[in-house]
Amino acid sequence: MISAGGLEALVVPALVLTCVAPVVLIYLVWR
Amino acid sequence: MMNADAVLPSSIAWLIIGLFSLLWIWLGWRLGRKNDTLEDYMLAGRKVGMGFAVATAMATWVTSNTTMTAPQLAYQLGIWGMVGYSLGAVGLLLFAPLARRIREMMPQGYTSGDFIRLRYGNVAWRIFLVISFFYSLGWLISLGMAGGLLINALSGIPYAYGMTVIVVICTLYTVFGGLKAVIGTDFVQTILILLGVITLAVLVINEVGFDAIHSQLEEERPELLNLLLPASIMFLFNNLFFGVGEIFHSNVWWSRAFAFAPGVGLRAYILAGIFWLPIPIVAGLIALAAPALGINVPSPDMVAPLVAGKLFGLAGAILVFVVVFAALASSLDSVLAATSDLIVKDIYKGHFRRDASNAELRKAAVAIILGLGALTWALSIPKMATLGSLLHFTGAFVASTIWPIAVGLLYRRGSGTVASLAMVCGTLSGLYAYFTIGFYVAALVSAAVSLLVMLFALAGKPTFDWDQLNDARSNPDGEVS
Repeated sequence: MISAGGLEALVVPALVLTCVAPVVLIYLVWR
Repeated sequence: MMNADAVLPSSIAWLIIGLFSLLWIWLGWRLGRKNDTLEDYMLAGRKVGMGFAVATAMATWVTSNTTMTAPQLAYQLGIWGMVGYSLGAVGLLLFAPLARRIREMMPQGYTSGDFIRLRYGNVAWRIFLVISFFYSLGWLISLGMAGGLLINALSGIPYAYGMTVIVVICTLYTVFGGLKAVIGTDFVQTILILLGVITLAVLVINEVGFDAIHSQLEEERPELLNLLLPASIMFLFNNLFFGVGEIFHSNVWWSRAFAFAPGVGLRAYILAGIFWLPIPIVAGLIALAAPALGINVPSPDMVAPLVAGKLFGLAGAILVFVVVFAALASSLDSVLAATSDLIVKDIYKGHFRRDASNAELRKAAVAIILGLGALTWALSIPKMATLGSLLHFTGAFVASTIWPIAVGLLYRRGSGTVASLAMVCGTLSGLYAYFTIGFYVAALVSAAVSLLVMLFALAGKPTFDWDQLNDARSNPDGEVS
């Protein structure tokens, strides 16, 4: 059984990575 | 069929569809103006840079399934459902080194069919083409039907109207601009999808919070938090092999390997895989918030829009609609273009018009894209559930191609006979597993049997001469003599 902390540890890094993606994509196209 | 539970007024939905349709078609027309040659039209001139390369690989793999089925799986299979779905990224990551090798070995290649024909001969080529067309048809119908169903569920617009609009729009801008239009719109669609998913997830975390989500799940749906749910773990591995099989064989991914500028393929597919990986997890979180919000979910595939509508009203519904519309278009255009390439090069020219000039092929490509669009529409309009699940059914077929392609690209061992046997035996055993055990093991069994057959190839002597792949440079068409 996953705990609330475990759920957070799974989702937050995923969300951070998802936030980084559009920034990197726009930078790559600009470059 | 109107839908009383729709989360978005149909007038606003039509406005969004109209605006984005105009944008996609304008982009397609504008990007297609500089298409002078067949290579420009089919492969964007083979010079696609890093930014567009990453975006198109990501966007094509973010289908309506990613944004709607990932939340549904989270709601049905729990944590393993969304993690299992996110392992679809493994296909992109594993294809990265192959994409580099494809670009180096076949600098003038056009399709995945080119490789199979030159590497394994005509029998394996034709078996591969049957598998590939069956899969493409399954994907096209699944996207067409998903378009109609999702637009109806979200806005109440009748199924036939929603499906027709999405198929017609994608067909039109793909015809106008070829692969450049597909890739250019993919970039815009990727940004829209990412911003939509991020906004919804951040708002869910702020408005509901992990503790509330967890405690309510523990009370109402504790099985979703169980990390030892056997069916979910089986789903995870099957999904992994299905995804790898889809990407390894489909011309959607090969055409991009040929289209990316030299040196771009490896890094582009790796970055696309890394950025795609978290999306199903983030989208899944949105669904897990449903119990904490006290939402009554009539059917699991509507869980994401219901959460968005409940939390953020009209703005949330608009956001989900835009994300779904972009996700549908970004995949449908790619499958149309890549399947058309395969028909133009491997069927029209490979089997019927071996002396066709590039100008003739360019005209044929336009007619074939229009024909594929019409076929997708005709097969989607009856809304047959059996056709809708066709894509699921293709898992047994596509997983059988993983090992013949990987071995064929990396080793000189393995003949056309062994590769043909691997694809046929893998497919048949996968189908047997599909009907006797269930859909969640079909790809797994198919890949395993195909691997066993290909092990015979690896035990043999290295006989293939890599220079034969260079025929894709000097004699790219027609049967192997």
